[in-house]
Amino acid sequence: MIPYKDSNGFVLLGFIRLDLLLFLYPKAYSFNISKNSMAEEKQIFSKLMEMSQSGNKDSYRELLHKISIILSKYLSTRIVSYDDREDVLQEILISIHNSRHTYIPSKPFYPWMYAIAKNTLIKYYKKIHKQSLYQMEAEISSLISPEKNDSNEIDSTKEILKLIEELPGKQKEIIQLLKIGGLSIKDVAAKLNLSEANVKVIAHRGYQTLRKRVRHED
Amino acid sequence: MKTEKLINNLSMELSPVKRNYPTFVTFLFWVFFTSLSLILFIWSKSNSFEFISIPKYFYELIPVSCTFLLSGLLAIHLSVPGNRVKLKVLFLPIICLLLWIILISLRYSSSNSNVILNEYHSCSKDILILSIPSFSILLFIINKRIPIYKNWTGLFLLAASSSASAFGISFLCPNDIPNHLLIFHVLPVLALSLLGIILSNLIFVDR
Repeated sequence: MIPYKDSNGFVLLGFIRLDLLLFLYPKAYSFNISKNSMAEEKQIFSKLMEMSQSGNKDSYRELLHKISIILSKYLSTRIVSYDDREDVLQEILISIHNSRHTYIPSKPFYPWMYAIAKNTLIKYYKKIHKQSLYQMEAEISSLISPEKNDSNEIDSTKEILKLIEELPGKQKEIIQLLKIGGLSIKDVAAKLNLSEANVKVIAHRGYQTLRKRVRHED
Repeated sequence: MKTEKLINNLSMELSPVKRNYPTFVTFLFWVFFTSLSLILFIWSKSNSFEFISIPKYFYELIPVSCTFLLSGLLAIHLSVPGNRVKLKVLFLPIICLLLWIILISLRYSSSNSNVILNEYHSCSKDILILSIPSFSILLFIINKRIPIYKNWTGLFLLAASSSASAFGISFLCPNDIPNHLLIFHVLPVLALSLLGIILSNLIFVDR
């Protein structure tokens, strides 16, 4: 048997003892390996972030890609809807981008990343909670006083949504993100790779077009 | 938009960033700035330190200074994502504030000051004014980071700045009767600290 040198320190015990150890504690050995590889992975993340902070685009792309894989798994157990999960993932990536200056390389990367992810996730939960409360309120009020349930209102909402769908590409996308997705101008600008001023201008044009079409339909 | 596209966009527009200073360095900077503003304020109010009043019960200032330092440190520490603090540590500034109240209250029986209660009632106004510079600089420091625990950070932000100014005012106010101290020194600090929790969602920038 060839002596096997391992960074975990098992080789110091000699190869016979290693066999014994593997025989006695196979799980402990595999756990040690996975723990070590995880530590190495974390170091890679720290290194990539450090390089990203100095402006290295390739490192940053690689880092975001790795983060998105980890966070997808993290979110899959917390958000059921695929679309919502993707939206939250993108919001987390934007948050990480906006707060990359707060990371200190001497500190572990994962707690920093998960703190930002958790914060965004809480915001999403709050938004969902608010929406469900609003829906519940509307349902309760319609149950209590069905005569007050204004069907015209529902129709006009549907019409406006239809008109938004008919808007040209960017206008439609921006208004949907702002008004239906509930994102801020800053977030939309980051998401679509546009300046905030541009987003405002396009949204304004979109509103004008909508206003004209609504008047025309009336 | 797909996540891959977003990653490409974000990495394309990447620019080098200046990393935040470590917590302790920032804390020392804030303490220096706050001390400077306290000294300047006391200097201007006491006619170049001529009418400065050395507190008779100096030991009462120890919990106030502890609140000032601990709250400032915790506010900066908690504003960095991923930084955590044990629950026991979070309550330390609050315990210091309570200790301050207890120490003042213990003097009720032995107090025989001739100064009437409402004299020097401008103390609370001075505390408010003096807390503005340290509050502003601490808010600026925190908003450069990402406060995740907003309520705690808001509480410590205002507790730190108000207790710092209460510490400074005690060198200007010769009125040392417990009633005055509790109403015009302690109460503004407590009220401002609680206000910090309420204002935390408004004053911190969301990223």
